[in-house]
Amino acid sequence: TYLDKQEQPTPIQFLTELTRLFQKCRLSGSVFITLKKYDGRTKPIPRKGSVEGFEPSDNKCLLRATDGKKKISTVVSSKEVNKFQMAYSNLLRANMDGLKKRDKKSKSKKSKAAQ
Amino acid sequence: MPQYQTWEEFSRAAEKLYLADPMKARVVLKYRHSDGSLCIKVTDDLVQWHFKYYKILNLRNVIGNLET
Repeated sequence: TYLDKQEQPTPIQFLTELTRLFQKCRLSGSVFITLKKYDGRTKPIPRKGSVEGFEPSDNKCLLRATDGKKKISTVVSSKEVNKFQMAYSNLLRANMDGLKKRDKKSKSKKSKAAQ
Repeated sequence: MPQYQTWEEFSRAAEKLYLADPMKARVVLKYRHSDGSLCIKVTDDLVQWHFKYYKILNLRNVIGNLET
C-alpha cells in the first residue's frame, strides 16, 4: 500500500470524521473500517527494482473508514498510538452500541451445549 | 472463508495470519447499526477468516490489533 503525498487527516481529525460516519449510518447502511500496518511509502512499488532512497518504517499503521460513499483515512504512528487507542476505543464503544448485550443465562447454556 | 465461532479461536488465527506476513494482513470491521451486527474479517488476500458478532465484546480486538 502506498499513500499519495497529499495531506492525510490527523488521527484526531479522522476520529471526528469517523464519528460522523457512524451517525450517518445509524438507521441504515454499514460502516467499514480497515486497519493495516503501513511502512510509509508514498509511491507504488515498481515492477523492476525498488524505489531509490526509500526506507520502510516499522511503526505506523493505516486506518481507513467508509460508508460506501465517503472515504476517510489516517496514519497512526507508535508515538501517538496510546492516546489514539483510548480515543478510538471509546469512540467504537460509544458508536457500536447497537450490539446486543451479553445474556449471562443463555451464554452459560450455550457453552454447556458446546461441551 | 471459514467463520469462527469463538473469539479465542478467531484471534489466534488472526494473529497467525499477521505474523506470517505483517505487511499483507489487514483487518476489516463492518458495523451495521440497523442489524445490530459487527463482522470482523482478517485477510492477506489469499486466506480470509470471518467472525460475526452480535454481542458487545468488541473492544479487545481493536486494541489487540492496533498493538500489533
